[in-house]
Amino acid sequence: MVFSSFLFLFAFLPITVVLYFVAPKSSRNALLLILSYLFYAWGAPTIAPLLFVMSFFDFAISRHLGPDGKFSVRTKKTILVLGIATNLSLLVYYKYWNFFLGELNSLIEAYGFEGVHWSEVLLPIGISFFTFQKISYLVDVYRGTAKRAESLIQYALYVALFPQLIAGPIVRYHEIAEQLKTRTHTLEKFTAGLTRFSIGLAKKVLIADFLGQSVDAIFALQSGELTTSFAWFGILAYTFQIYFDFSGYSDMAIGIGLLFGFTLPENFRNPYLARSFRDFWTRWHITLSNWMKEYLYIPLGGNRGSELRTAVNLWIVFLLSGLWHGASWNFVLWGAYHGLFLSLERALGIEKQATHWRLAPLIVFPLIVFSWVLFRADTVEHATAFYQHLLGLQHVALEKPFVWGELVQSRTMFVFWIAIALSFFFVRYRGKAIGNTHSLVALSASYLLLLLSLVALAGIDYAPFLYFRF
Amino acid sequence: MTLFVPLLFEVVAIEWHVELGGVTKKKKEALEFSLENFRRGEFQNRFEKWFTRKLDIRPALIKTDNQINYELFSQLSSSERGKAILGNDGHLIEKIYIKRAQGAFTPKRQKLLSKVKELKKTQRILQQYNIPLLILISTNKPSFYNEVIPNNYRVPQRLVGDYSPLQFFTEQLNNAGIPFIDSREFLKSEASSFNDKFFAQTGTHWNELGSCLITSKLYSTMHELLLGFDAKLECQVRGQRKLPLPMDRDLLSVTNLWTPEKLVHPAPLVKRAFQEPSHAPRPSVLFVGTSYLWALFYNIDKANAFSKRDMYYYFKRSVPSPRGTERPIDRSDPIWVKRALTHNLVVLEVNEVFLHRIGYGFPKMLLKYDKE
Repeated sequence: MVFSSFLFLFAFLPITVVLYFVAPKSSRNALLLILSYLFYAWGAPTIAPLLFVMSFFDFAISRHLGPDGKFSVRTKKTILVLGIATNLSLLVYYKYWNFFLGELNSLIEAYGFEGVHWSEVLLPIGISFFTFQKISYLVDVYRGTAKRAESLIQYALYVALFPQLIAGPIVRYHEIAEQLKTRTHTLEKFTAGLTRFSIGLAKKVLIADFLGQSVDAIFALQSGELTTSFAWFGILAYTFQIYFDFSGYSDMAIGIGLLFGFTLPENFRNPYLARSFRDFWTRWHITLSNWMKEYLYIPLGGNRGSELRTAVNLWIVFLLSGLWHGASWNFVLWGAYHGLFLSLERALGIEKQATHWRLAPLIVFPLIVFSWVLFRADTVEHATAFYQHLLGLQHVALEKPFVWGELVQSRTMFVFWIAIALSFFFVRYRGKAIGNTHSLVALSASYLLLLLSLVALAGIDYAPFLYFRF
Repeated sequence: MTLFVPLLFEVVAIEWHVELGGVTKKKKEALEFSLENFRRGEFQNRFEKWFTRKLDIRPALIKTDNQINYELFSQLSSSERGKAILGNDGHLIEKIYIKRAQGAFTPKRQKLLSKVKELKKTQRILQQYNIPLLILISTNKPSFYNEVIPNNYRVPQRLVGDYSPLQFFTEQLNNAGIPFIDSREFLKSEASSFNDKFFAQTGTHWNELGSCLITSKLYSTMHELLLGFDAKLECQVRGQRKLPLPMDRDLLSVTNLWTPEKLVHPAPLVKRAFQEPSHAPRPSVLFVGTSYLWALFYNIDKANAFSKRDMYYYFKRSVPSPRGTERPIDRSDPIWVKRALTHNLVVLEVNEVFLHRIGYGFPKMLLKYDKE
């Protein structure tokens, strides 16, 4: 079930809201948990039981992790490592097993032997997100940053809360621990939630999905059909598609969270205005950056060691970030690309200075656009060919000409310019509109966006969220 | 509150059903729950489809979305999968013709040569039964009126050459002695006599005027092929129809707008002057071809110039007239060839951008039948 489906919009969400507020306060967490599992089981029926079992496992071992636990520090550390390893092993198995075996087979077959036969493992939706959240819980309890969840229901709800279960934001346990116990419900929060949800839905449906049609068509072109101008439009459109799709989803998640009294962390902050790669990662998928920093980069040593050590730590974080996004070499290369520029900025000593260069986005943005080719392409070979087309190095065959009208409709082009305007120019106004949700303008605008989104949802074909595949 | 409205309507049984044109009704799958089909995700898929159908809000939303597209962006649909576009001067154009009309996807000379050879063999076989063969090459809106193609659908000239399959094909037909009507050439010659276009803004095929003229040309060509056939048809424009004929509004139904009348423009009101054949018996004619023939039949059936005019629609469906039932054609069954040989004339119709498909398998069947 996706947020932009009729079933979710006209049944699941309104019914959940009604049931939540009708239920006694003491039962609300349990109710949300049941409905969250229903939401997840709808899309991943075989994994939902596993999710519960793993939540039970984490909760059970967390009893022994906290500062007040009876075991020694060394034993607690062992339990922590066991917990993290168990969670990661499931992630590795479900997400990377096919990839590893595929690469192994390529190697075996290159030497003339027969490859290994295996049944393909299906990727459970959201596993990358909730695995990180589960690790966050174990580490936070171990460190004492947060107290252990008071009940299994509380912990299971932290993992499975449906607004952020499938595609984030990745909520670190200590950010939400208190809200699981007690949270306020006010009219202001509720209207802010509705507004935020409407804006997110509009970003996804009115912008991302329209751009996505052209992007899919352009990236599906054979090499001999793809002209340089199509390639450039395709990657620029993808640049905005992925931003509005993912940030739109995050807005919806945050908005739904507010309906139920949860304040979820922000995930995006005008990323294409970044003045350096370092700055970009404080604006793009912020919760992933924060998670990586807190649970990987800093434990590795962060920047406390030598320059070489810091560079190594950065590379590890970004290679793993790339791999986190997908089990294929183009994602690893994407991570490496970002790691390279981050290291360069550090080596040249410009990562902090760049924040004062107002025109720095003119350099950073094109480099970010270039990185998205690796992200969007199906394989490294596909990405390589696409880069060649961007640079005008590929020959275009003449037998099957494509015309602009069949790849980019008038409305799509209009949406493209709107995406540019919203990404670069109307940032301040947008912030004001979101902030002041009681204003008539904001409420009317969000209602209008909701209506337009519902209309567009019917007109455009089914389009799943891009980050679902992670 | 908006999200509650459809459910509320359902509960209080308020009907707000809206029909969409051009939608194939899919078979409804049974909604049965079992752990197995839930595990496989089948139940969820079917439930979501059932739910969307039950809400019955989607058609109204689609029409609203299409209306927004039309009013603000001069396009017909948000989906890239729409079959038609809005061209210049308010013309609706089927996508399948647009690039082909500009010279893309052209069949190669070799392919067309082999088709002409096949047609020559067909002609010879039919001659054994004293049945002339006539080729009718239909034109299409963007081929005839290139100016209706919007700029963003223009194929760059550098990507298409000077090769014209139509010119090549007609030259080969001439060389092979196979009679044909090149409707594009013919209508061009008639264009100066009329102020009106030969294709309706809201139609795929030639309009009432265009089809009348082609029918008159068909009769005059038949006069050369069938001794004694002297039927005539004169076409004159006597004013305008506020609402074009249904056959000239076929694309309108798939636009799915709240205000489709905005796309409707007056059409030429054609006055037909028939001269019926003076000799009996009137010929029976078999047409093998495409939907461009329907508009010709509108004129032919009014004229009563034939004793029988049958059609093999894409050689997939038999549409007899004046009597008989429509039936699917089994191409492996020689009965369809035998029935063809009971006619006085066989007309193979094809559109100029699909010349390589001429006959749609009928010549092949005929040749196979003849060999056996």
